[in-house]
Amino acid sequence: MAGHKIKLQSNDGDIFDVEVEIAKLSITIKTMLEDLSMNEEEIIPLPNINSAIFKKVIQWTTHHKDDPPLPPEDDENREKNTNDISSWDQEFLKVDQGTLFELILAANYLDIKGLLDVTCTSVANMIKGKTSEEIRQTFNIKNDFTPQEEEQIKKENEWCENK
Amino acid sequence: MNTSNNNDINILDLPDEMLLIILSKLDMVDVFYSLVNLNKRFNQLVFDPLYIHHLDLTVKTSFVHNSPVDNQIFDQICTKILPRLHCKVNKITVTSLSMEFIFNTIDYPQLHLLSLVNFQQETLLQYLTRYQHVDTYFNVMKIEGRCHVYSLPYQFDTFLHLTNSFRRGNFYTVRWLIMNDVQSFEHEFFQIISQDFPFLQRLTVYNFEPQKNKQHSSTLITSAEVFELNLLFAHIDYVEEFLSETNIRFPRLTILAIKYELSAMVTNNFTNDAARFNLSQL
Repeated sequence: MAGHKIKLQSNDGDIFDVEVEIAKLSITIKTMLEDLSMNEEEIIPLPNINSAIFKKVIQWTTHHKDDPPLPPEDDENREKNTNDISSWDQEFLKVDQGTLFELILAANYLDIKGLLDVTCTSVANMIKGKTSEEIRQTFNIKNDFTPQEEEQIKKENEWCENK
Repeated sequence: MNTSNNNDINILDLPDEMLLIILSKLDMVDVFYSLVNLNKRFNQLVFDPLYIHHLDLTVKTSFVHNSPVDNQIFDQICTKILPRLHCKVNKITVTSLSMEFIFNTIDYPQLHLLSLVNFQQETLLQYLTRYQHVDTYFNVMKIEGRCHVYSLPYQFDTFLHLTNSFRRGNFYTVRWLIMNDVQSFEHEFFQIISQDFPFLQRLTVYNFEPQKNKQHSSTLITSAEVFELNLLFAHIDYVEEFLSETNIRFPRLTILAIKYELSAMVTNNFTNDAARFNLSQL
């Protein structure tokens, strides 16, 4: 029913009134409401999501509530065009890396495929064209290979090349 | 802006499933260029057999084709990365740009499927003729073209969609042959087939095009091992060709799939002596 709201609680205690139709873009919440017969008056806890991230999720789902459903995933024909982020989503995703990764985790937990796609695409765009050293700097990743492991990789390459 | 902040979660805090989704948004070329030897975890993901079994080196979004950057990246992939994964690759998808890099460098002992994207017929032939262990034939139809590429020696027991453009060879392992074309199969072509597929046991012919030359030469073809013949989707000329022992003899034929009306017509209601030999063991 349009306009009907449910209460969702973030892991830091804040309670959000969200329209049912928007909340149901999350398959996790939809399942709770439909399959588990949760009462719409009950407060639904979301133990994996904090208020700041949940606000962003509501902002995204509200904007995308009328989007057509995404086609099912197909490994062979998976769309790899990483440039097709809409301008609204590009603005939405102008956030720090921590927020971006938390959005990915939230989209995965809430099972919102569109949000998961666009956030992962955004990270993919940050990776593309960079050398591994640039990636390390961008994402603060340490080179955790021991000198022995690096030597082993080198040896394997030589062995394969001479094979 | 996307900036690194040590107080927040890091990309490495994402579970493998999320990182694999991110990888799936990138061309494999991008992944190899940016994420190999980054750290142990990314190496584990990139070199996972499930990820690399299909080596897809088509470039959809990243680089301008034929640019120096392209060549530099492919060169790096060939020297640093392919040696580490070539033994695990089952399927390769390449464009004309990446083909030379990929096959001039190394062998792929587990390769079963090669997909070629955006190739002109002539370019493809030039490439393939360099590789002695590969042969090919084309089938250009009204609305599409097919290119059949196979390794030599041919090791499979089935040969699909053989057409008139078939280039000859020794196909000793093939037991089941399916022929189809929009051009007619002539008697002389069946003679070639019987020579090149000497141990054939099952033969299926899809062809609705009447034969151009029905005055067959005196050459009698014998297909000694064929026990099953399927002519359900063939012009009556092929029924006539195969049922008359003056054209082809099938001494072991026990299964014949054929439209009853056509067989009755060709054998004059099963009274024609010329068909007696091939039908005697049904």
